[in-house]
Amino acid sequence: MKREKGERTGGMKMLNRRIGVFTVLLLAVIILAPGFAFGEEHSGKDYYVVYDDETGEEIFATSWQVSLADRYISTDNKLYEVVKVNTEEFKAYAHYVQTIQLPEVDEIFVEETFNTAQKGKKIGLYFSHSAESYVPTDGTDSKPGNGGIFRVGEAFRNGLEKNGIEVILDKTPHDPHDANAYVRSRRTATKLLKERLDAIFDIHRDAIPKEYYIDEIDGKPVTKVRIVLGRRNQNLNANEQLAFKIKAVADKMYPGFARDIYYARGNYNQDLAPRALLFEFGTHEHTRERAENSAALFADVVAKALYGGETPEGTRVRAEQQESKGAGSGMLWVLALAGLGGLGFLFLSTGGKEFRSKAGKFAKKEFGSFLGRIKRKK
Amino acid sequence: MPVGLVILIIVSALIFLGLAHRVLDRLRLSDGGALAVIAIILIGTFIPNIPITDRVEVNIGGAIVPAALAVYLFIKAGTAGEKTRAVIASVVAGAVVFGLSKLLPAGPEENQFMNYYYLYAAIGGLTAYILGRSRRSAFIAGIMAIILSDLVQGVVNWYVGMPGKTVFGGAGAFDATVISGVFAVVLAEVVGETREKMQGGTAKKGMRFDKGEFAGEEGKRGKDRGNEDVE
Repeated sequence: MKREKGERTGGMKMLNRRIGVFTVLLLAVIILAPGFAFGEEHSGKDYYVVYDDETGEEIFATSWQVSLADRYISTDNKLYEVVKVNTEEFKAYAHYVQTIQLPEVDEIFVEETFNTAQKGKKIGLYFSHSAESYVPTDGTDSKPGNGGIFRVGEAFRNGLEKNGIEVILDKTPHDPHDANAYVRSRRTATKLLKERLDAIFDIHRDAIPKEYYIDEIDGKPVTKVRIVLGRRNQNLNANEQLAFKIKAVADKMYPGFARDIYYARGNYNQDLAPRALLFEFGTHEHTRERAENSAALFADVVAKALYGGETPEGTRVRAEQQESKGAGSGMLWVLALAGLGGLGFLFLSTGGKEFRSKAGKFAKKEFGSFLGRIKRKK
Repeated sequence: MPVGLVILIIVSALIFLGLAHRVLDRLRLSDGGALAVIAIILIGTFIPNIPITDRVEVNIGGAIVPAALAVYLFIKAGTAGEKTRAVIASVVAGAVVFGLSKLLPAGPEENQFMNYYYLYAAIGGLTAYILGRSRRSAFIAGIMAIILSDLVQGVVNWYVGMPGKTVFGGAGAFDATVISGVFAVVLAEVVGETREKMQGGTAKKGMRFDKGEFAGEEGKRGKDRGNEDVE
């Protein structure tokens, strides 16, 4: 009995030690995590301004956290890559890489084809940050559960519907606006994707001074639109193709309206589908009506980009090849990662000779039932 | 949808499900059992969520199956000590995930980690590993951390009158719940194997390995078996 008691005390000591180690590790994780935020709405107090690293000229501003290797395509299609970030002064520097050639858009062709392909078009819209609002109209930048952003989404939906597209608008709130907002909105996105959508869009607004987004089209006040791509997922290239196509159509229809494309660190649920994008309609400083006007016009752009080139033979083939190219590199990405992970694990769990021997046996063991029994001739 | 995109979706899903299958295999589930669980998770993902109340929904693939599996593994746990550690690991990991969701920056672009799901998996896996060095506990903690954190957020939202819905495991096979459970085991496995490699071999050399676990010392019956299956 005595011995048992002693063992138990020893066990408790061990447990306490482990809890201690865990706490230290946890604290390290929390301290290393930059810029704590307690789930408040982006208010625009802190936003990044990004400059050209050679000329020193300002390129763009964003309320998003800018990270090294983020990419950015400007209104005039210049691709930049972020090379330096100063988190204290909210400044970053980007290096000009090249000018991107967006896909050719044949306007007449698009018009003709668009009107002929009217069946089976379906798009899903949702709001990861359901509280985002427009201060001049909504009186606040955050209305949990019923943000002004919902009205912008409705305007976008109406515009798409005018183009003969069925739209599923999901107003599920994902509040509070904390680190788990995207964990929650992922569930909404998955639910929407079960409806066999052609594309899914997450509707947002930015949180920087209004001047960056202000615009006017045919005498109507509008906000410019930013397309955001998550660069941490296997669908990046496929989604990038769609973003390029949307910007190309927008550049033809309303030059300057599609402000830019920002490649941010993160995935924004874009790993769920190869036609998933995030749009920013203006900032919290705009009137909501301005963003609604913008959403209505942008709906025409998206409709043409998605469905415009689908029917006639020539363009359809080209468009599909482009998208398949994006899909192909996505697949390579996934396979390479899986392969590397597998090899890494094999190496860890073995070593040297054993590794070589196990690597040989691995395929047999893991895929044995899949490949079936292969009889070898003697 | 173009064929290329469809293949991309299928390949991504197959790789993840393949990994999940290997993980379940390591959790003492038979090959067939692991495959069945994967199949139910996948089918459950596409079945509409089950509404519980106006504010609560549950997805079969993303929450019910993983939670049921966690409970099954809990019941099958070797000793009372392992059970206690699994519960402690789950509660601690759940509290940490909830705490981090408030502490970490709201934008996914603002975190240094690959993705919050993997961070949460790491927390579940690490907690379970440090407390019990058990893959089963890692899986239980990975799953329960997300479910408990969702539960707490749901209660807080309801209490403060914030509109919102708690959809447990709503993203099915792609939900943070499943991802966290699977990667927690992967992490426990990697940490366990690294540690073993560093110490130059297993500390369980004298033990008998039976049905995917160390079932006791050579020559002894199963009741004397050790409860730590990763070392």
